[in-house]
Order: sequence, then C-alpha cells, then structure tokens
Amino acid sequence: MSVIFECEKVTKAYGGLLAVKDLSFRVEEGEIYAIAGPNGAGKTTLFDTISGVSPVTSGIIRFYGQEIQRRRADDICRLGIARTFQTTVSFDTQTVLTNVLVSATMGRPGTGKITLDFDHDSIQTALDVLEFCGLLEKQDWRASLLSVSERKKLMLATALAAKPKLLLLDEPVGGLNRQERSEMIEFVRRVNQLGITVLMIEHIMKAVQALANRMLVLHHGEKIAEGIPSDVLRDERVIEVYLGGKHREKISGNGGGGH
Amino acid sequence: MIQEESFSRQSMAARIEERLKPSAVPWSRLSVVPVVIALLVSLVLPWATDLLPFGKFVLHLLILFFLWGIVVQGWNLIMGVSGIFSFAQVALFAVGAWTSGVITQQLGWSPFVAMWFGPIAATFVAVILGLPTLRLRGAYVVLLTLGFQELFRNFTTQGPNFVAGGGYGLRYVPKFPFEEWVGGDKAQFLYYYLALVFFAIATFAIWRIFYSPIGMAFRALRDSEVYAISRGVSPFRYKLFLFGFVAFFTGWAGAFYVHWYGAISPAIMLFGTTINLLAMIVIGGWGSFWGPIAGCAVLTVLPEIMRAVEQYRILLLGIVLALVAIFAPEGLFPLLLRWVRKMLGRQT
Repeated sequence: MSVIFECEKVTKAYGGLLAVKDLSFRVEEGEIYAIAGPNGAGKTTLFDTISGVSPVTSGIIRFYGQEIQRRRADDICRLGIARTFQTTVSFDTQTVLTNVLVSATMGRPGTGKITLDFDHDSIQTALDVLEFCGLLEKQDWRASLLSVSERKKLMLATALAAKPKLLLLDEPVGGLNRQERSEMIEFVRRVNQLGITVLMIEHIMKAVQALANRMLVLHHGEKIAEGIPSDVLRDERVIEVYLGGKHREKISGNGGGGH
Repeated sequence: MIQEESFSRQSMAARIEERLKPSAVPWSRLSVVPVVIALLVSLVLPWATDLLPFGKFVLHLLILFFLWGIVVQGWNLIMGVSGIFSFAQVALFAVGAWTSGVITQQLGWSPFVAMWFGPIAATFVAVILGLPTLRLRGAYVVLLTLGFQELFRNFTTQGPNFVAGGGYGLRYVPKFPFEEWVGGDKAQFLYYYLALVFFAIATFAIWRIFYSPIGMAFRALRDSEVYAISRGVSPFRYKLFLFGFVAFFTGWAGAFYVHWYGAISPAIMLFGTTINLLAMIVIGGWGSFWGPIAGCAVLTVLPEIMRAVEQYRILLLGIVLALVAIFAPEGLFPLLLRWVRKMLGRQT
C-alpha cells in the first residue's frame, strides 16, 4: 500500500483561534479513512484547507507526494481531489445533467481550458456517472426539485464526474433517515470499490464502523486518537470527548488540554 | 463506468445518443430556417419602412434597437446569467463612444478605424473593473460599478476640454461618411445595415457563449460559487473573460452611436438610461437568451407609441417593473413561451 495523501503539521488559525492545530495523518491508497469528532472540532475547516477553499496557516499537504497546500481550489479538483459539502449544495437552477457536466467538463484531470463546445468524453463521463448513481432517469429535472437524498447523491455524482483519485465526503449520511443511510453506506462502498480512496468526516459511529478501515478523532483541532475504528472507539479520551466531555467542559471552560 | 473506455468511438456516440434526453442538455442547436428568415426580413426592412410616411423614424428606432440590444444582451450575460450586479454597462458604452469620438476629432482618423479602439478601451477598463469584483459580493459590486459610472460621467463633464467639451460632451464628431457615399436619404440605410451587422455578430457571439461550457460555468458560479470552484470552475478566468467579452461589444455599440449621432452627452450616464436598460432585461426575462432582446424591442417601440402620455412614462415603467418583479420574476418572455408551449401541447 502506498500513501496517497498526507497532512504534515497542518495548522489553520482564524485570528487567535486555532481551528486545526499541528495535525498530521496519512491516508493510504484504496482505503476509507474517517475523521470523527464533536461539533466545532475543526473537521470541516480541515476539509476547506485540503480542498483549497481556504488556505492553511502553516503545514504541508501532500497528494501523491506533491505539495498542494498553495494550490487553488479549482486546480486541486483537477489534480484528483473532489469534495462534498456538509450542507447539500447543487446548481439549483440547472438540470441534473448540467450539474454533472460542470465537473465533467471543468473538473476532470486534463480539462480546464476555456472551450466553446461540449466534448464527447465529458458528456460520456457525465452520463456514466448519472447511471452509476441511479440518476439517469432524472437527468432533465431541475436540481432544486430533487429530494434531499437525491440532491445528496447528485452532489456525490458531480464529485465523481471529476474522476477523482481521492474523495472527501463531509458527513455523507447526515440528515438522512435510517433506510437512506444504509443505502448511502452501500453507495460509498461501491465508490470505494471503483478504486477511489475515501476520506470522510462522519460522527455517526455506525456509518464509521461500517465503512472505515482507519479513523482519527479530532477534538479542538487536535488529534486525540488514531487507528482502526474498534480500537479508537474504546479509547478512554474518545469516550470522554463524546459522552462525558460536555459537562466537564462547562465546568472548566476549556476541555482541550485538561484531560 | 471504467470498462466503457475501451468502446470504439462510434458505439460511444451511440451510447451517448440513446441515453441523453434533449430537454436536459445545456447546449442548443441553431435552426437554420428561422435565422435565414430573420436575416432576409432585416435586409428588406429598410425598403419596407421607406414606403411608410414615418419610415425614417421607424428606421431610427430599429437602429436604436440594435444598439441597445447589444448592450442589454451583454448586461444580461453579466447580471442574469452570471449573477454579478454590475451597473457600469452604460459607462462602458460611453468609454467606447468617447474613445472612438476623441480619436476621430483629435487625430483625424477615419471612424472606420477609430471605432475599433472604442471596444478595446472598454474591454481594458472592464477587466480592471472586474478584478475587484472577484472578491466583492452583491451590493458592493453595485457600489463599485455605479461609482465608476459616476466617476466617468464627472470626467466627461468636467475633464479636459477635448473630452468634456465644456460640459456638453462630444459634439461635431465625424460621422460615418455614408452621406458622401449615397446622399442624404439613403445614408440612413447604410447606418441601419452597419448596425444590423454589429447586432448580428454580437448576438451570435453571445448566443454561442450562452449555450457553451462557458455559459454553463457562469451559471454554476451564479448558483453557488464555492461549489462551482470546488468542481473545477476557475472564477478568475471566467469572470474576467465575461467582463472583457461583454465590454467589447458594449464599447462597439458606443463607438457606433457616436459616429451615427455625431455627438454624445454625459447625460447618457444618468441613472435614467441604466434603469431603462434594466427594465428591458427584467421585463423581458433575465437569464434567458431571447427575453432581453424581446424586452429591448418592446421598450424601444412602446415609449414612442405612448408619446401622448409622455410625462407618465417613467411612472408607468416603474409600475410595470414592480408588477413584473412581483408576479413574473422570471420575466414576461419565458412566461409567454411556456404559455405558448402549453397551448401547442394541448392541441396535439
């Protein structure tokens, strides 16, 4: 197994607040790696820095050994890292097909030139991805008319249409009911079987246990545990952060360093 | 989805055709027949207006329609399609007009040469103006662009004499030499045909962009910028292209205007012109391709028909704008189109 992705001492500060602090971890090719942690732990901030939406304060992010922490977000997408968002987004006024075509024509490796025509490869990619995601029948729907779980699928479809090597999923099963959840878990597994490495944020532990090969737990921007899920979830600090931490935080006013 | 890459080109095309729904695609094909008909009609139109007692005036309105039609289509691309609230389009029109006008007056160049420098100057200004809008959002873009328009209006009122003409703007600008070529009456025909060529080229170029991956990128950035960027759309590249592209045609229209009227006043940059153009876009239907063109046609002709109620013109325009904004926010043209389709659908 080779390392596909690596964070080395990544720090992200907003003014005096350290949202992510000296975080290091590695993701290996082909695995599903989960990042868990309570609200405000810095998970989404970490995704924003990886995907180039907001720059890192310090530290190095490597993708296939190449430093990417200074790259623009649209560039990072074309390098082969596609992300989804915690709150479902779509190009609301556009058709489902057009939503997917955006990343197929602009986000795939080797694309990105300004062109006047839609090329065969992009259309082909878009249709393949819609078929894979079960959205082909609804290709002419306006994205805003889809159900919540369909919009979530569409957001994933647009990520896949960029032909990523690494997929960043921000709470893939959040906001879904029980049945939709198991469908989504199955779906992520199928995506992973295509050879796409998955890095996901999730705090629903059932989903993490069902999917992740390895995981880390983030708390106040710092890594407090890393390993295979069954071990990590038995870790005392993790249990404290998830179950008992809240009360203690209220008393001491700072839960980060005191454990 | 991976294995299919080994398919041959032909079967691949077939696979695309059978899965693609025509109503889902963001591109469009030009149907030749309506275009040819439209062109033929536009070619004979001056001769038809010649038969009317007020034909000269109709021709004048048609030329105005072509010019504002160019400006409005460009503005729609920026505001309706891309969601950037730029209010400097009339200023860019003026930049084109002033540049070309001053060149002919001060350097004595032919309008046919000078008119190319208008759009170039407008493009240059627009790209510089576009840079800060990459960071600014919503109301701040309005402030910046309106501020620029006000600044340029002041410059053309109080600037050096060869620009401001003592507050009157440019006067006695060399016109296109059509009158020398064909004599008084028919000169207006040539103005018409030149404006038609400008309009046709601009409309085709904008149509091409509208239904291309570029237009799709504009709409993606409008719907959700962060999402679009994360899917590979470079805002820098597309927004600057947008500003420059639109400004070229807007400046072109301005250059034509100044060599048609032979004069231009800074008053054109007062808010009235901008509101008028905005009304064309909003009433026609912003974000749609044909809407603004239809809106431009209606609002060029309508005020002339309603001369009798001239003093209520702005009031009526305001009321219509408000009604459209409330009851048909998409604009009247898309509404009409859907209504017609529904009627047709019922018949079959």
